[in-house]
Amino acid sequence: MKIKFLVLILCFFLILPMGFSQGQKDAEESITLKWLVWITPNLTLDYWQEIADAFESENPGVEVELVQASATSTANTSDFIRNRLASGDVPDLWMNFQDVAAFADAGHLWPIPADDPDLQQVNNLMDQAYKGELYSFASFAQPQGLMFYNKELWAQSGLTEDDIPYSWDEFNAVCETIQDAGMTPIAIGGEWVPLILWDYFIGAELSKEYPDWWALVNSGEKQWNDPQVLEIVEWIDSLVKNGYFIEGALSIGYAQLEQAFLAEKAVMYPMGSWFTAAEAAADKDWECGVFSIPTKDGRTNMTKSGGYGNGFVIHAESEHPELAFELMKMVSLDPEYGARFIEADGLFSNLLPPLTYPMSSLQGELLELMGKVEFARPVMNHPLGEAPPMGITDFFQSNGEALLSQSYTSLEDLLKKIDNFVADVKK
Amino acid sequence: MKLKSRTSTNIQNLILFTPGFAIYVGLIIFSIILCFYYSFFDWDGISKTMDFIGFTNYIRAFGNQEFRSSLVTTFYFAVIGTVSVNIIAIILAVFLNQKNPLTNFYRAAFFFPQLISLVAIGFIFKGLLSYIGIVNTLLENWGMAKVDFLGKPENAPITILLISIWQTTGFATVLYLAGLQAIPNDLYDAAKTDGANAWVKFRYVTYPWLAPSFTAVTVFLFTGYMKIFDIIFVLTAGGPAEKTQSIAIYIMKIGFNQFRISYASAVAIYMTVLVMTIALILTGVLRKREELLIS
Repeated sequence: MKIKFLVLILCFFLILPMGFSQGQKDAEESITLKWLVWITPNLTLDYWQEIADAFESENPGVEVELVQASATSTANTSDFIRNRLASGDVPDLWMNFQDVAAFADAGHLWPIPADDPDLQQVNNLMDQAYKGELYSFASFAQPQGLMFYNKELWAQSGLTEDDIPYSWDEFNAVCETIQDAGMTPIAIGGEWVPLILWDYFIGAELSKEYPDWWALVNSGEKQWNDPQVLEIVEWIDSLVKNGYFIEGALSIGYAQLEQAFLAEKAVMYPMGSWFTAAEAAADKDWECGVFSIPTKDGRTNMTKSGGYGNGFVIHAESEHPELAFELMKMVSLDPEYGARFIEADGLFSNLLPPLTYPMSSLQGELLELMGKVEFARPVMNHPLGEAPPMGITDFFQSNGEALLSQSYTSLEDLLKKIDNFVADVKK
Repeated sequence: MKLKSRTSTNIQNLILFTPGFAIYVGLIIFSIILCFYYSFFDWDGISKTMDFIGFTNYIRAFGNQEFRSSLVTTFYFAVIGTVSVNIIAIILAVFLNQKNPLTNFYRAAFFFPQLISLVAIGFIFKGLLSYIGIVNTLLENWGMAKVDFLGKPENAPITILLISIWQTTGFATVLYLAGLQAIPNDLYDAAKTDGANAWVKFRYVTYPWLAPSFTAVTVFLFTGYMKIFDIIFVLTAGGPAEKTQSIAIYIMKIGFNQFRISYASAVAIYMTVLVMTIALILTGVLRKREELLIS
């Protein structure tokens, strides 16, 4: 009797999943498109769901399943996708993706049709081609290496618009003035944020002189442990030593950091253009301004991402790549949804004619600034075919943390660590 | 009749045993074998080809400074965590073994952290202990200096250790409590008759009889701490400046951030062998200790 009962239980547990799988087969008659979306304070789940719903209503019989990722739990899209590749459950459309060269070489990306009529509105479309194929396209520009500042606190510390710094010396003087006025000059935080010390502060100086920095490093012509790089790191280190960064920075998460700046805990905030969207939505009574991260000689140089397209790519083994391509176009080119995407994340259109949205005064100021500066690639950005080794961001981040916490044996060691990693990976 | 009963028992056993064994082989043994296989190749996890490189990944790991420092960090958590939890759990178990109207409440309260996932605990403490979090806001309002619990290299490992001790102690306490309740009352009565005070009773009755629980708790805690990952990942992700980077975090970083799957596999195999060896030695030594104490 007992045996019969146990056999019955076993059969039940064996049949149950089969029943589910039959149910799934029925459901599979409608097409399911899996879309990896990156959840941020600007790009919320509700936001993505709205676009998914709109796509579903335009394409009856298609169901868009959102696969969520966020910087809190996942270092980057490549990391997320690699795990999915191992599990065999890979989304059809990915976003925020940067490692085009490595994944294209491994055969994981679907080449999008470059002759698609809708793509012809993208400015310099084929700039994003890799080995003759197009996997993504730059529908927007994302200025980075920006220093936002609180105009009210700026004035309270005795500074005027004429004091906007361009050179390191001018920036040091501004920080000193703010500190003397009893305020914290710069807001910076933990999680991924220490990266920006390398990507923005070093990038502003380094990429100005060596736009193809990674090509030089990869060929062995240049090393990170270089007197010129060391000089930049020494400058950043002096900012830390002088106490210009917010106290307890490394235990302040990104979302908290943004709120801290909006709550006037610091006068300046180095960040990318996506902050303008948060600023526009914030309930505050002060005006925000923006300038480029200063360089040694004062020549303005703003880093701008876009070297890897708009970050949307399609999985080569997707069963419905054409449909994923339609969704990709909808979110980046459609006059309504494309404009909403760039508005939600504080981006600027790279289409001809450009998509527009009602800009805040800060966004207007940034647009004006973009017209005055020279652009360079961020150090972390991956020009196609000249990519740094995957995982380099770990070293930038931990070196950024080492600088902020002053826990290093020597600055040369921090730079050697990057060189050692590059050499180790090459082996 | 007897034969039929034995056959039916065997079938019952087989039915009950098979699912667990299949899961164990499929998810653990197979993964370890696969990991061992990958460790002899140079593979980034996305390429469709792999190059055989023999023991190079193992040699590379031993020469890597970051690997060695992660190993030291892991042992720091394992040794201090195991010792601390054992001490606190024994004290709590003895306290909870008293007859008191609130004993059941205390048992539930101490065990409660064990029921919360480590990831959830990580997020809760991250909110509490951030430099602009609840604890520091309270400290500031009370006129006290703020503490950078998670952002300072010297504070972060201690903070993580304290949180993990808080989370694990309840479970260890329950095991010790079970051990305490198995001690025959006759022994305490005999000790009382001999005029033993509370300390002597603990030293010569309670402590030796807790030896089996001590073995189980110590092996469980030590091996658990050697694999510490979740709470570090959520709270500091190994930072600041790699000061809380355990081996498990290091493996995740090299495998999934740096796409060095084969190298990560070699480190993982090394750790598996190390943890298994330590667990076997610990068990052997502690079992002998049990025999000595009880005899």
